[in-house]
Amino acid sequence: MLAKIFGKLDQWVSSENKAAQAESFRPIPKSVFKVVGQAALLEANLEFGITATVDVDILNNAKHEVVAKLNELLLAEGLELDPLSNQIWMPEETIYTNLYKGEWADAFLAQTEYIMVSKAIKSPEKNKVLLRTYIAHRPPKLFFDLCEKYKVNLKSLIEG
Amino acid sequence: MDRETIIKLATDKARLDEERAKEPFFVETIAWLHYLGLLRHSTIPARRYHPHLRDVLKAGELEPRIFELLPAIMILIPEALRFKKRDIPHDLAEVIRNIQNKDEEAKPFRGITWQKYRHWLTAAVMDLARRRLDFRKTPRRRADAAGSFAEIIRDGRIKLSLTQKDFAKTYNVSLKALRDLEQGKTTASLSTVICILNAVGRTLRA
Repeated sequence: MLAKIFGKLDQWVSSENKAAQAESFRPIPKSVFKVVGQAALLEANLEFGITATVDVDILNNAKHEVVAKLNELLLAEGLELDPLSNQIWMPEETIYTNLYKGEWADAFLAQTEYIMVSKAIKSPEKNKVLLRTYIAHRPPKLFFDLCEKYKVNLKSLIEG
Repeated sequence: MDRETIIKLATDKARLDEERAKEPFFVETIAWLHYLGLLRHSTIPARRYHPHLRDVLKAGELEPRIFELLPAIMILIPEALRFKKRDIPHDLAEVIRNIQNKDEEAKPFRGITWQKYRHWLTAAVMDLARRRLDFRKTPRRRADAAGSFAEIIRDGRIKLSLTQKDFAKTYNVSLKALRDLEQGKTTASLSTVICILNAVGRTLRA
């Protein structure tokens, strides 16, 4: 669903830029969106149940008007852009996979292991059940390596 | 502690969490909030329930995102939940009071920061939820053979964990026909009815 929304956003920027070109205005620059948090976990089709609120966390460098349009497109699908999106911390080495590639908008999904580490560091209490379930499903070595690097105390997190 | 021990410990705890997550208090709360368009869940489909506040609070212990929404629900759409004033716990009552008094900063609510739960008070999706609450706009379910037929299709689809949209796409049937059948309308073509029944593992017999 998110890829479809970014496709529509790309088309909108394209038409805005065509109009801007005709009027000799500066075009809207290309934007990059990185979907993180629960929304990215939902898109990842994990083998266990994921709950997410309808606000989507998207790190972005988009101009105000593009963010407003994205919010409008999200709302049409019953979603919202989390206004605190750009405050979300993600590990610096986070790998993002391609979600949508367009002329004026590129969108990426954060890889699950990095999202889980971010949650374990920034809001362990809120995510303890999710993290327990994730660990019980045998996450890849990368997750444990990241926990070691960022000094995540998995034992207290699981027992908490 | 080595990785295998961590995984073993998590597996034991997760098993208990999973068992609790199958209980009606959790499933019905998530299904209802999903129906209202406030939460999404990858396996629990949206469905109309009218959970009690007590069950919602219990479900919040398993899924704290429910606590994120709860203050806004209690203020903007309290009719979404069943409760009497005496059922409201002190911490929730205090948060509601803070919001109603327009206090600049309120206490966190069960681990959820003020900024996080305040956001839902002005969220546009709350308006959508209010509209979905309007029971007069929901189609009347017929209490006859067509009604039970509708139940069979709806229950079968939910067992497959598919939304109406996904079901229609997966089995290549008309979304309108599926919706009509689930609402007790019997105007769909026989071939569509047979196709839908086969998909939910049932057959039509004379």
